Amino acid sequence: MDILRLINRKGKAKPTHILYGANLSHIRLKKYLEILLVNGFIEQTSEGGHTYYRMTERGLEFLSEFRKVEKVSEAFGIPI
Amino acid sequence: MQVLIPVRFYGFDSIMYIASAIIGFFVSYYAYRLFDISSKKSHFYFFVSFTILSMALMVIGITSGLAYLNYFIYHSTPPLLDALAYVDDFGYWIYYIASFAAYCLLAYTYLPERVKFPILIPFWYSAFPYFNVLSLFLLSYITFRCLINYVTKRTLNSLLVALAFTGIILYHFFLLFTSISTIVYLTSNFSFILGKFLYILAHLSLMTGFLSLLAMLVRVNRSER
Repeated sequence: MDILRLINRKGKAKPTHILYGANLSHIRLKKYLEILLVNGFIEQTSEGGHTYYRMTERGLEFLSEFRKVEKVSEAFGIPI
Repeated sequence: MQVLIPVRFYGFDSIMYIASAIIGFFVSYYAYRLFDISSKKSHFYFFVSFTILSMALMVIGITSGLAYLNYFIYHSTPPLLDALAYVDDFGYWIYYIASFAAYCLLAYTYLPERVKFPILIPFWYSAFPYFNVLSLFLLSYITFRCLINYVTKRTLNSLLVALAFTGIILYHFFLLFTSISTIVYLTSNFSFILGKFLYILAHLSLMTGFLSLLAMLVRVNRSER
């Protein structure tokens, strides 16, 4: 979720930005990015020789749904 | 023991039960999504508790509505052997058992992870007042946790949830005083009127509680558009 939020906030993000922003190790980052790509939440693009990750429509929908569920759980005081 | 229900309120309590059930189902939908994401046991109990509670409210809404419909058609209370009266009673039994189970699960959800233990409360729901006392006991803990959550977070959504459970606990509190012995209500007009007033107040509290939950869900949906 931290990765999705970061990419959504920035619009597009390089792997290094995500690495420092989400405070992950390189191995974990690679693993999570693969999961997110396979599930269609993010897409990989190449611009000026650099790799970027952007949110897909599906990813935006999931993030929106997650935020709603998060707010409801917070309102009830049940940690997610 | 008799519960004093004002004749003019016949049907309104059924509508309130059904409306509360529908709102409860919306809450259980979000609880299901929460469990779908996390797969935690506590979230599963949260989902199941609200689903069972909503089903209980729906059952009592429908069965009491049927009983009132029978009254309005025949303009009298059903004779003792009328099957419809038994349907109404059966509906109340399902409501007692199911809502008691729902409150137990919800209280369990709020127990800290490291102190989870089975809730063993005597299943002494055999009479109307005992059911309300047990519900008050369980809901006190749940309401207290929600109030702490509001004091900690200070968000409008957490306040709405705390208000919701306050409304539900007040429903059981007022209902406790609506069931009085026949001797008392025959000898005291005040008790007779008070009992009816408390019945209406109880249902208004329940409705307010669930409308508070609805307001919270509407706010959450609107903020994410």
